Amino acid sequence: MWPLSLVLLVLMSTPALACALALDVGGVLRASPGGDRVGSDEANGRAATFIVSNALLAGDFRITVARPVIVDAPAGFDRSAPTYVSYTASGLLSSYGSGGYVDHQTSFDVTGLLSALSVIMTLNNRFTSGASGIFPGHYATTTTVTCAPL
Amino acid sequence: MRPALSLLAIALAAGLAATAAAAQSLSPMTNSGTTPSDVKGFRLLVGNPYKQKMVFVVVPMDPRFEIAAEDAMVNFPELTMAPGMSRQVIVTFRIDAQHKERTIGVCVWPKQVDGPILPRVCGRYTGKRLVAGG
Repeated sequence: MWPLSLVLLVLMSTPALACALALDVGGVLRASPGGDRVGSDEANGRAATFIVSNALLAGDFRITVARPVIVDAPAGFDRSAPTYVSYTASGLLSSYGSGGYVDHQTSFDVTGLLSALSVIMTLNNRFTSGASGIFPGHYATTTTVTCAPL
Repeated sequence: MRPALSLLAIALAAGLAATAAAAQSLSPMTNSGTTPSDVKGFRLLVGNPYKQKMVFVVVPMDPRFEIAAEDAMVNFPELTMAPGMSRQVIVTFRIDAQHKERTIGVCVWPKQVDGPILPRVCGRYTGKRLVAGG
């Protein structure tokens, strides 16, 4: 095994590392049984997972999760319908989360050397029927997740 | 080796392995420097951490990463990169004569997103004017 000092030396000699966001599993939206909402945590839906990594020497950073935006929906659907996001995140020494579904932008700070190695995030989107109701068809949402320095 | 030291060494080694498998998306994430003129530039490294060829957009933004920055440009606003590869870009921005310094943001994200997440990595960069006698 390499001595710790050698490992540190190699780390120091690499270019300044920074934040990388890599999508692991894309989410899938499904309608609720009652037809009053669409979400990735409904039956046969799937949450999105992704990994925030390589922030070892970049210092402390902030992950910001924006409110989802409806980017695709059948004609006539009210795209301004309320949207919500829920997420959990796990680091080596810490865990974070939105505390359930929220309808606004939230963020959490990842600080400390070991916490910053990698953070695995699981994220669910949901929107309700709005004024128009849910029509049969294809729906898609996009949630912007930003990794940035504090 | 003491247990705590062993854990740290393992964690650091894991970080090295992750680096080799997935290059950084934006580096450095913060920087500052001086300029004798009213324009400041920074060299940034944009990497593709995905397993396939990707097109990324690089956009100068305000420091809160909300709107595009005025009087700022990047030499390659779109980058097509093979998996695991990195490429250098240069971002330049004008510092108003009324101000001694200006901070801008730079954000990188995939041009086409297949899925519900738009992953965005942003940095913050400050240019300071060299003022004679100051």
